[in-house]
Amino acid sequence: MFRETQRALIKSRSALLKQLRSFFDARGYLEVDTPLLAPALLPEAHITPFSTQFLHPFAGNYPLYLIPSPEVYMKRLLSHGSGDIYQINRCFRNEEQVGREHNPEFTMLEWYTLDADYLDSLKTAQELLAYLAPLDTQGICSRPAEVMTVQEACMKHAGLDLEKAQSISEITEQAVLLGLTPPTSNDAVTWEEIFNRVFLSFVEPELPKDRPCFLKDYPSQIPCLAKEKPGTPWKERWELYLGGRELANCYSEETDPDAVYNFCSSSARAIAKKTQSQGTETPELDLQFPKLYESPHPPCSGTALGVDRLLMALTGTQDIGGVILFPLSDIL
Amino acid sequence: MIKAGAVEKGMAILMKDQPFIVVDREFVNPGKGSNFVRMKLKSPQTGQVLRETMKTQDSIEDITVEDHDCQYLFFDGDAYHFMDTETYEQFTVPSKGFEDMQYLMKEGETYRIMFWEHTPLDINLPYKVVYEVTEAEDAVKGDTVTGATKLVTLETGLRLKVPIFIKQGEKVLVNTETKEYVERVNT
Repeated sequence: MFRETQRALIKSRSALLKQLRSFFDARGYLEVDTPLLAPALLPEAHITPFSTQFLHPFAGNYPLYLIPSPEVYMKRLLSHGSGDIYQINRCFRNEEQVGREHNPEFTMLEWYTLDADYLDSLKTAQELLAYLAPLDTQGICSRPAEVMTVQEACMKHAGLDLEKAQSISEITEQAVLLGLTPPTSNDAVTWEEIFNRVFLSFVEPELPKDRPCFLKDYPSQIPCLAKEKPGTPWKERWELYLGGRELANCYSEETDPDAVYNFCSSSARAIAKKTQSQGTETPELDLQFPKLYESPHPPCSGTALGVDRLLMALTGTQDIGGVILFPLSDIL
Repeated sequence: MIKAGAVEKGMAILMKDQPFIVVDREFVNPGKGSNFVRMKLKSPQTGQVLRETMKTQDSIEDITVEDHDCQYLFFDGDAYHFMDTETYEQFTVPSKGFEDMQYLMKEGETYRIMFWEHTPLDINLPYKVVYEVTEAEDAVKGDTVTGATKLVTLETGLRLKVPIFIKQGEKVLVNTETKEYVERVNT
């Protein structure tokens, strides 16, 4: 039997996809559709891929991976001169818990703008939210957004002064004062891990839920491909929270070949260490990626936005399984 | 020891040498960061609520608990008095942290109590319970909007919103977790 709720979901997903495309089409972005199967992955320490194989009839098997994001292919297009581009496609992340906010297969909107930085993208994101108002049954998107720095948010909700907690011993001391237990795992503890424990315990739950909230200027200790904000301990990165849920992540993209190379090699080392300790196979890593930046690259900003979570916010749905046709949680 | 990722709602764990009940837990992956589990923990002894986030791979000390059927006798303003139906032993559970239980438990009824080394940790109510409506005003005539509600009082003193057709003396099914009306019970 075809349920009414399923019919409503098909309608709302279809309307949202249409609206997202018309927003970027009208602004001159080209829609691209890059492969979902990739022979190698950008080294990202915390992402476990779904791996498979191409069974070559004569030349043996060839490893392939379902992409965790379309980033590498889109950045290749940019370096080949594509101009502004966007894509709505499926992404796959293994080993993430299936829960209220995660389905291992999900839909991502990713867009890149040339000669733009993260603050330009923030403006575009605000315009996009306003453009989605006709689909917004909750009236959240159309409210004026709150924009604050990560430093301000940590200060306000946890009394944590990040500028004064730049070393791992300083931030650990602050975390223990806030009541968190000292780390127990055998892995070497990183600044990023302690920051995340404080942020997720005390800051994220307090972010406004009735309007969009942008957190900007993330600590440089969190490795990512965003540019450093000159003269500060921050990176040019923001995240958007909608209904209190993490929805989008944006960078002024790092275009310095050395910085990109350093990110890739340190992430590759972290992956090797992790897979070694778990006794699992290390996936093929795309170590050619930094070469894209060897010839001069125009400044560029990229944003990745979770379309399923966006639909959750627009329809007031509390479980990601409620906005996906055939969610994995139905069978697990 | 168990992995933090295996912690579930309602489980009892030891943190800083104190027993805590997991009242909420969810998985979070910040940015493209590693897997974390965010928990809300409640101390059954002090009522203190702790927030904690750990990597799913971190270890947590779980504790072995036992469930006993116990009869609820009365509330003295500070603590709930119970009797173990097997041993006839009487004991009290401080109301701190369990304040809402006084509006949910019925005197004389038997409830499951979670014990850790003779210390009562948690009172487990059935997910849905039938209560009698002891105070309800008659619906105002002409108030026929679909979904209209009114406030009523139940035999335990709990006040909640119900549809306007519910009358005094009738029985209703209530979700004890959300304290929300579920349906009318015909007797």
